[in-house]
Amino acid sequence: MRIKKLELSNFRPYFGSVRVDFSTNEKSPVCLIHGLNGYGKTSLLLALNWCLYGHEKMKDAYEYFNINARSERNATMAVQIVFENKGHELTVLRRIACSKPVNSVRDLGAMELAFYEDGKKRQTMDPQVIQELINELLPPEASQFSFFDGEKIEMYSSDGASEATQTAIASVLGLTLLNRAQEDLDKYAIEVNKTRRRLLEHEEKGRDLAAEIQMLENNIQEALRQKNAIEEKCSELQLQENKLQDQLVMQESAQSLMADIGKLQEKIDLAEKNRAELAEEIKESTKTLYLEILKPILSDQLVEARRNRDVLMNLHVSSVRDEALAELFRKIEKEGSCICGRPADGQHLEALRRVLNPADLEPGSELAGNGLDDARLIVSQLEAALALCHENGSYAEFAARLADLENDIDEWATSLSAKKSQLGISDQEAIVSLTEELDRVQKEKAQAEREAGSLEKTISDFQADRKKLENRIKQLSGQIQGLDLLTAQVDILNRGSQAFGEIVRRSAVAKQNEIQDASTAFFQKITNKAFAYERMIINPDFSFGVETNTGARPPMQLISAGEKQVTALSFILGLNEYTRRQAPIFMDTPMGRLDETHRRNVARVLAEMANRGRQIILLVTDTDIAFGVDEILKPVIGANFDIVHDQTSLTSRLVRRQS
Amino acid sequence: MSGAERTWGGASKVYTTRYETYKRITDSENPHKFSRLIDAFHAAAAVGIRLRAVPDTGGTEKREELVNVYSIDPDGVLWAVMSAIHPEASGAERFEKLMIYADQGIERLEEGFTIYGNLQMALDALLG
Repeated sequence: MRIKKLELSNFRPYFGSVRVDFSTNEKSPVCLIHGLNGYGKTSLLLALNWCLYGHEKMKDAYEYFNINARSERNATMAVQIVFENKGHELTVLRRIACSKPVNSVRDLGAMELAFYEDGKKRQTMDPQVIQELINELLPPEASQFSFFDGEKIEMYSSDGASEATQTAIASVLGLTLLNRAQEDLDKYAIEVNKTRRRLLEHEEKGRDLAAEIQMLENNIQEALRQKNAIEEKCSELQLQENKLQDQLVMQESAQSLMADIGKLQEKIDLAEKNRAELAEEIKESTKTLYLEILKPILSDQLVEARRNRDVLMNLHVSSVRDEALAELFRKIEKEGSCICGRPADGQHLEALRRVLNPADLEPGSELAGNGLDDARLIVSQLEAALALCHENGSYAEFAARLADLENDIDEWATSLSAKKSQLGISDQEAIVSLTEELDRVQKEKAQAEREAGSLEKTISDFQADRKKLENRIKQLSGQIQGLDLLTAQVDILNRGSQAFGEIVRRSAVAKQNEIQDASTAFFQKITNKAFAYERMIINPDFSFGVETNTGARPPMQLISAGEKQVTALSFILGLNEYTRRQAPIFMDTPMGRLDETHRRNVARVLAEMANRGRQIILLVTDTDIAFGVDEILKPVIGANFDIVHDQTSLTSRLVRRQS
Repeated sequence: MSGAERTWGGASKVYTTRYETYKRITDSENPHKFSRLIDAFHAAAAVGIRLRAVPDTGGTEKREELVNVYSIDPDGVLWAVMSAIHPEASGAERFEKLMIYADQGIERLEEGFTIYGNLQMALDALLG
């Protein structure tokens, strides 16, 4: 497999589009790309890796985006590699197209990955499928031994590099999946463990909450106890209040009774006063009581007296007339002539007597005249007496009033006596004392009721808190249900990881002798102490070492940096050889710390590999190919390229040297 | 009767055989009794006149002085009624009859008073 072409667009210092054609003849598969430090050699190695495997972080892509292109609208960063493999042309294209100037990672467009086989694009929407095709073409674990930076391979030979070495061996042994599985298990174990720890925290939190609930429960019980005590106190106070109110009502009734008694007493006093006044009036009226008694008889006697008087009056009038007629007859008889002018003869006188009847004259007429004065006096006295009766005569009325008044007084006195007998001990001081006591009890009761209400609210709050905590615990319980399972999972994952690690380790151990041999083959060709060193050692802990002809194994701390690079390079090339993939070797500044002899030895090894048809692309500085290196490689060099760098625009381009 | 004279036959004192009765039925502090002897006499005489009472004992009981005659009839009422009911009697006779009426009247009044407790009710019972 060879790299035919590499095309960069706006990648790192390569502004615009840069195309490199690595086509050479079969016998000169080495390409040298010359460039000074900072011109963009490593950028080509980065472009290769980015194109094939991308990067998880878009930040890296942002940093790769050419600084001049970032300000352009619709700029695209792209790397395209054309491989030739078993007669087919395979093209990998990775690019990021932007619709606006790139000022931050957020301005980057979506990353696109395409795979072409003999110019025909693989149609899939899933970039993972494309990535799988690429990985199949050149697995990333193998590519690290094909595309590498000579200055960074020392990590395999540095102190404590056993893990990298083991990983590298595992990679070439195809145990990467196990490695990845182990890593995945570790990662998953870590994640699961995080979840488990979170659940443990939840469990702990649950215990804390349970303790909190218990505390709340204690508080609730205490508050309930207090509330019950206060309610009991309220009941007692209520009883006291009722009792005091009853007493007060009794006292107030007594007061009312006293008021009634006072009113009755006032009425009685007033009645007594009226009675005294009435008694005076009765005293007066008894003076004329006899008139009232005599009034009927006076009336009867007056009628009788008036009749007697009238009889006597008639008798008196008749008497006077008869006397006058008698006197007239005597005068007519004496004079002999009548008053009518006729002679007073016997016949005429007889006629007069018959008409005037003077014989009716009674002898008692004089008596009648005497009794008339007495009769008149009696009538007048009786009339005067009756008049007096009419003027006076109120004893009966006064007596009736007095009787009524005394009845009233008796009735009131009876009522007063009854009320007084009802009235117990009562005084204003007692009422005031009772009122004050009642007020105190009512205030105390109100305070107790407020406290009970407050406690009720506190209890309600506590209960609400407890319910919340219980719900929270319920939630946590639901969450920590899988805790045991997670613990088991973590255990299984850890054991799985350990198992995979052990498999990898044992596999690596099983193959490390073969890899050690392959590496030793390169080591013996590259080292300038082949006379002294017997072989390169990969220790059981996957650290490197060297063994002398005498079997001694000097500590690596005593080995020089150059020799460490030699062991690392030998290890890389050994692994590469071991993979037998024939992938192109793309080395960045491979000579690094090596001395002249080592450099030439490396050149010879590379030339030897080139002679076997391996494509080798070396990114070199002038020093890398000095000391005869270029002479050693010259027969196998198919093309030379120069990286031309513009210091003003800080951009680079690749120019193929004309042979 | 001869002549229109308001006289009691020249008597100067009123005597009674019921002096103790008069004392019992007279009390100036008790409105149900008579406050003065003269008032008791007037009422007793009036009751006797109304009842036309006559003495049972024939006037043999001991008489005691009760009041003066000049105070008994200032308005002539007793004279008028005694003259009306005893027109043929002399002043002295009328006076004698008046004292008899009074003695009988006071006796009856006390009886009624004892029964009824007050004068008015006693009078109502006596005179109907």
